Amino acid sequence: MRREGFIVLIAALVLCQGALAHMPGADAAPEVDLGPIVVLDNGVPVEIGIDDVAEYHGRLEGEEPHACICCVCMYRVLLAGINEVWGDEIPERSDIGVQSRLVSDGALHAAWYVTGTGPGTGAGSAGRLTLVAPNGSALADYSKQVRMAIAKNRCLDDYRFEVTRLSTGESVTLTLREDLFPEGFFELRRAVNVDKTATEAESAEFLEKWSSLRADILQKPDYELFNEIEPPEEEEPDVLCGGVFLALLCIMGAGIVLMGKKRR
Amino acid sequence: MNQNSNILSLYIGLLGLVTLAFGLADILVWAGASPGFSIGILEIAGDDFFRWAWGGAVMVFGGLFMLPSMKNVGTMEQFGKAVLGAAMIWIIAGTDIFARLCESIPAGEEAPEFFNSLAGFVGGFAPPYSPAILLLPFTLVVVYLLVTGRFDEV
Repeated sequence: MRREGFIVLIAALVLCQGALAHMPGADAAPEVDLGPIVVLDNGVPVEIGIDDVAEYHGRLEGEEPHACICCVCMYRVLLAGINEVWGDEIPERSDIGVQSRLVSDGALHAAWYVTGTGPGTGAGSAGRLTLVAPNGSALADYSKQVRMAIAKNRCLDDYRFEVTRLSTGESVTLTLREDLFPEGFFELRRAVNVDKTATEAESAEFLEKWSSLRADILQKPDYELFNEIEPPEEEEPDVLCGGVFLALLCIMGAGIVLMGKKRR
Repeated sequence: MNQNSNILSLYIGLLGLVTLAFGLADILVWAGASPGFSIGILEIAGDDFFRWAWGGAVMVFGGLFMLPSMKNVGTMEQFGKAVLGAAMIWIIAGTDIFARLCESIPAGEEAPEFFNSLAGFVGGFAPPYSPAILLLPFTLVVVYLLVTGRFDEV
């Protein structure tokens, strides 16, 4: 074999080692790629990512950009809600109506930013945002004091949202699944954030549960977050085609072995 | 050079050309020229560097080995190149089939049991297939000539 051929052979064999080293199906560490919420702002498409919401939330709080549980939760609600109500269509921002029983800063800021109803969003149009009190009535006063008073007794029922297409009245109600929350989460939250009676161990436990819950809300699919969203139907395995493939593979292998034996 | 030799040369040449094209397609799809596509039973996902960029490069080399072996394929040296080209396809197709085997043994993440059902296992080998698997049966001619040692008789 000529020298050029030898070099090509060596290069090819080196490449083969890489292909063998590949472990198909082995994913890297999970990356959070939720995809943006896309809305039309006076007809102009605007993409809103979780980072934009985190930046806005941080700005209003006078802090660095950060996405708390409530921020992330509202983002997922809007992403799923818009998908459920509008399907493949892109909604006009002014056509989006949101009702939320979660009245925390994070949820409020995320909803403000997406609907364009908050201060400094830079939106050219605005939808409608309504915070709902625990008794079901619309909250008139969005001041921090009033919302904090409500937040003291936060429970699973507060994670209830409604996304509405204002022009048609079509809407979807989304509630978070109970099994999403770690055991004793709300009691710990109250002890740590409200009553301030938590021990150091309890505070550490709460922090761990808080981080775990946020990661779950960020990473889990919609049907594992919301009671109202059904899991996608599993496809039945194509046994016939798979069987034909396996049979052909076996025949091929047997044929090669028989040919080799016959030759000997 | 007899007619059989001409046919074999043409066959190896075409196989090399298709292998080269599929290899380049693997690399291009991985590089982002397309978000991945599936036509009929052929699928190029292009989502993994080692499988699609590196594996594509192996396929390209397979094609590059086969193409020059068209000339005088009946000689040992030239047929050897065709065998090396086919071996590149076997390696990639082999890893793809092994991947399917490994993926089909356990049940899905959602399932409570660890092992897949028989139907699930067999169904794991259903289409679509990667280009290397689709090319595999076409390399049988090379295998036949290699095993029987009749490459110099054509």
